[in-house]
Amino acid sequence: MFLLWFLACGLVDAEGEPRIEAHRCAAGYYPENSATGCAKALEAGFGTLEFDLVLTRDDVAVIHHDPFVNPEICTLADGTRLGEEEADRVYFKDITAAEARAGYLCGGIEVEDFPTQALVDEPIMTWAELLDMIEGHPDVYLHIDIKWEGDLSRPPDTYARVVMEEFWARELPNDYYVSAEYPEPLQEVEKLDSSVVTSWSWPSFPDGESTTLVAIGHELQTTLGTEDLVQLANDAKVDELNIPWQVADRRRVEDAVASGLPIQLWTLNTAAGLEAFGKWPVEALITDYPAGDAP
Amino acid sequence: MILLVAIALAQPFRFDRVDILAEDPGTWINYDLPQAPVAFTQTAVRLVEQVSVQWQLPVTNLYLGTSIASQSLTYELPWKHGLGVHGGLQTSLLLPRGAVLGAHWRTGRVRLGLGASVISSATWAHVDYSQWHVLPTIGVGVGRKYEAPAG
Repeated sequence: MFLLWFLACGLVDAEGEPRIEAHRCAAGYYPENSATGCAKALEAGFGTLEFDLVLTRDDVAVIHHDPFVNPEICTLADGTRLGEEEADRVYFKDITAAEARAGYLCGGIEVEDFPTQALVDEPIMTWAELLDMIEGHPDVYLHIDIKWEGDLSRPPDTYARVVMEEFWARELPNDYYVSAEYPEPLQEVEKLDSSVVTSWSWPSFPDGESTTLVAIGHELQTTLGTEDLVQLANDAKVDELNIPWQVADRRRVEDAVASGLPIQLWTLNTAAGLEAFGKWPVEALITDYPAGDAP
Repeated sequence: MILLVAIALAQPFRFDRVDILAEDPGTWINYDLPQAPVAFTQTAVRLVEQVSVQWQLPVTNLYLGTSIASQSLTYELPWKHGLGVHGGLQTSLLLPRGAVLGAHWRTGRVRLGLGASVISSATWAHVDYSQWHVLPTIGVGVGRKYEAPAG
């Protein structure tokens, strides 16, 4: 009994509950980043929507997670499956918005990670179309995730300008913050308006590199003390950090939050995970099952 | 601190034990173990990170602890029947970042400890002593056979 009490002294759960964000407009229920998925998410009243934006060759922002048309969820408009080799990739920076929308359909392929997802095959949605949907939902918090990936994408300043100017032109009352996997587009957003809240999705997982090895490398560096969450945010000149739960260390997260650095965790898709990480002093938990029915 | 360690390391020292559960930094049992049901791999990795090899230094009762998670210099004062108390400095790659103190019992090749780790958020990447934690700790070590001090 004494031992249990003794051990309980070191860990204190955070007060309150983190905000729950609908990852890619709640991909657990409808295809990720889809028009139907985002419409259903707004209809369901999820408090925060997270979605991803990439730029086409003609600098139009479309809603998609990867810098290329993802063959795991998209086909050609006639239903033909896309090649999955790197050489087969169709990068958005190389096609126009019209070509992207007319040439491909996404959401009609079964996704192993989301067995209960309703399949809806439809064209890639534009940022303008999503903003049309968001109008009339002033209470929805928006997590705008800029998917810039170096040479695979249009320039970061172009990303920042196109995404933010289109958003600001609508003069929507929604609270929002902007994230990205690399600091560059966030720094460009800050140049446009330093009051925008920016969150760096750290660590970056470069295309083609082993995510396990990348994660282990950062784990060792933070344990040894050669990397620190506050130092990372300061060096990147961002306001917050967005961390995958697999590399999150509770003590370091607590210290960083206590030092004034807000943190979000992604992507938690089990009820047990949401409950356990919900006790951390984080600002938000990102999940594909925001309705509280994660498996 | 660095000077003391350099002096200590300049002399021969010997292996004392491996602390499978180390008292410094003491964060595994408080922060990581409760996450095991939802983050088993991470919990296991961090268990390994805190495993500490303890070296007995030429200075009587002085020990150098070395793990990925912490490096420490601890003084153990024996009492009787294998019981004793200990206290020391814990560092992050030789940057002082806290202290450890407690009581222990050594019998045969086993050492059990109970105490507290006082740890800050300071690292070389971010030398910040504004955040502190006082954590209850348990130590479980296996190594050289315990020899009671003479007298």
